[in-house]
Amino acid sequence: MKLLNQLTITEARTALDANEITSVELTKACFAEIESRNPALNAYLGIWNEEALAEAARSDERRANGEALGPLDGVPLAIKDVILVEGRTISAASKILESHVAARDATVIRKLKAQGAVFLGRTNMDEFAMGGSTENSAYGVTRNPHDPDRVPGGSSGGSAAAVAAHLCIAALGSDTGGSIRQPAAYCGLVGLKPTYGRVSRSGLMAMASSFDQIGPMTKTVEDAAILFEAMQGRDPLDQTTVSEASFQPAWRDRLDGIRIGLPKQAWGDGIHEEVRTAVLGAVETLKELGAEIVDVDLPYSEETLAVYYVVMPCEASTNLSRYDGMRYGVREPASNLLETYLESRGEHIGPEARRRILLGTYALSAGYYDAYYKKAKQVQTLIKNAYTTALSDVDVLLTPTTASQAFRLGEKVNDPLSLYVEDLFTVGANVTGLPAISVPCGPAGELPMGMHLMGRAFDEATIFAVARAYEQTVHG
Amino acid sequence: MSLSNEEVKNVAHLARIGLREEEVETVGAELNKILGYIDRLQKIDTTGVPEAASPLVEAARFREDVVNSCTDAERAQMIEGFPAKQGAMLKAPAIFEKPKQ
Repeated sequence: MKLLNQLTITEARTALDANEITSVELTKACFAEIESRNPALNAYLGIWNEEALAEAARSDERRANGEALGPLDGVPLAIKDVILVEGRTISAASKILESHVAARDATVIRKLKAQGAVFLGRTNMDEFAMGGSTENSAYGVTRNPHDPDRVPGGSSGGSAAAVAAHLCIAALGSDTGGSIRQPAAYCGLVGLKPTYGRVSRSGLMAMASSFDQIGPMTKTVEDAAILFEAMQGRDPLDQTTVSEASFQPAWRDRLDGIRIGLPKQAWGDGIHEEVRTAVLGAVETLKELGAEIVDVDLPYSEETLAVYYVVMPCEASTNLSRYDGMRYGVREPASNLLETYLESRGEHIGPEARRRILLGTYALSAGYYDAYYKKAKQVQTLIKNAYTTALSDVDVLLTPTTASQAFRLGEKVNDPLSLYVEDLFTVGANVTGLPAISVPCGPAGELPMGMHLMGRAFDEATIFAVARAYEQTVHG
Repeated sequence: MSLSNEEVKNVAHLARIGLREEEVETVGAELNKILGYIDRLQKIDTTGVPEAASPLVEAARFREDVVNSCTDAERAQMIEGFPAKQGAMLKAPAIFEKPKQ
C-alpha cells in the first residue's frame, strides 16, 4: 500500500473522486514528508503551509458539493522558484531577489488554479535557471534522493528531488537547454520540454527568451500529459504562444507504424557504458512493441551546443540587465549610480549567472556581433534544417538524455565547460524549438538514467505515446 | 578569440558587474575556455544562410499595440517591492552628479 504522498496524479485523482481520501490529507502527507526529508535534501526553498491547506480544504468542499474543477483539483504540486505565484516570495535562487514577492500569477499558475491545484511551495534551482546541478543556487545545493552524495541535476533540481522523494505529487520545471529533462533523468522521473510556443512564458522569469519553456516533472508519463494539457494554449500575454490544435493524448499499446531514428552522430564515444546499455535495451523493447528502428544522419551535434552557448548568454545578458538593484531586489548602497549598479550586481549575482552575462555582453559588443551572434543564428538555421530533414524520415529521434548517471556533488564545480557539455543531448530541442521528453530507463535499484525522445513540432502526442508504451511494458 | 584582462574588465564594466581585481584572472580564464569551444562555429560555411528568426516560424507574429494596465493590487505589490521609495514613487540615486566645486 502506497503512502498518500507517493501517489501519482492519476492515482490521487481516482482516490479523491472515490472519496477514499481528501485533498487535505494528501496535502498534509506531503508536508509531513517535507518536514522529515527536506532538511537533508534542500529541495524546497520555501513552503506555503497555510495557503496550501486552505486551497486543499476548498478543493474538498468543491468535491463535497459536486463542483470539482478539473483533473488537478486538490492535487499538491511543487513550483520551481522561477515561476510567479501571486503574493509569494520568488527568488530565482538568487541573492539579488532574496525577498522579492510576486505581484501576479504566471499564466500557467492561473490555469492550474482554475483547475483547483494546490501549491505546496517553491523549489530550489540553479540561480536564474543557469546550471545543470543545482549547485549554483545561492541557497545551498539540493541532494539527489537516490544518492545524497550526488547532484539531482539542474537547473530544476529542487523540483526533481521533490517529486523523486515524494515531497509532492508532481512539479513544474522550466527548460532552456535541458533543465527539466536532465534532472528528470538523474532522479528517475518523466520530464517534458514542450514545443516552443505551446506553453505561455508569461510569469516565468526569463533566461533565454527564444528557448525557455515551462513543463511538467512527474512520476509517470500519463501524469506529465495531464499537467501539460492543463498548461498549454495560446495566451495574449505571451506573443510566442500559438493557436495550434491543442495537445490531446493518443495512447497506444503497440508502436507498429512508428519510425524511430537513432542519430548516428549522437552515439559516439563519451556515453558511459551503463547508459548505453540501458538506452539500447529500451530501444529493443520499442522494437518488440512494433516500432521500426533506423539510423539517421543528424549533423552539427557539437555545433548545436556551441550555438546554444552563444545565443543563450546573449539573451540572458539582456534579460538579466533588469536585476540592477533599481526597481526590485537588493540595492547595495554606494556613492553614485554607476557604483550602485556595479556593487548590487557584482555582490548579489552569483558566479555562473555573472559568467553568462559577461559572455553575452562580450558576444553582443561592438565588433564581435557578426562573429558570434550572427554566425550562431546562421548555424541555427542549418541545424533546424537538419532536424526537419531527419524528422521527415522518422517520427521520433531517440538518444540518451545524458551521457552519464548523476555525478557527485562538487565534481564539476570548478570546470564550467564540463557542465555545459552535460547539455549535449538536450539542447537540440531548445535550439530547434521541438518537443522532447525524458523517460526513465535502466535497471531498478541503480542510479536512474533517461531515454530522450524528440518529436516534430506540436506533435507531443507521438513522443508521449512512445514513452507511455515503453513505460507500461517495463514498469507495468 | 580570447580575452585579455583589460578586455574582461571592459566587458564587466559594460555589463555593470563589479569584478574584484583578484577575480579578473579566473573569470577571464573561464570565459576563454568557453570561447575556445564556441570557436568551432567559425569552421562552418554559412555563406548565404539566413539567420534563424525564431525557433519556430509559427511562433513569430505581430499584435495590436494596445495598453494593458495592471490591477491595483499588482501595482501596490510592485511599489512594496521597491528597494527605496518615497510615497508611491521609486527612489533612485541621482543620474547627474553635482558639478565639482
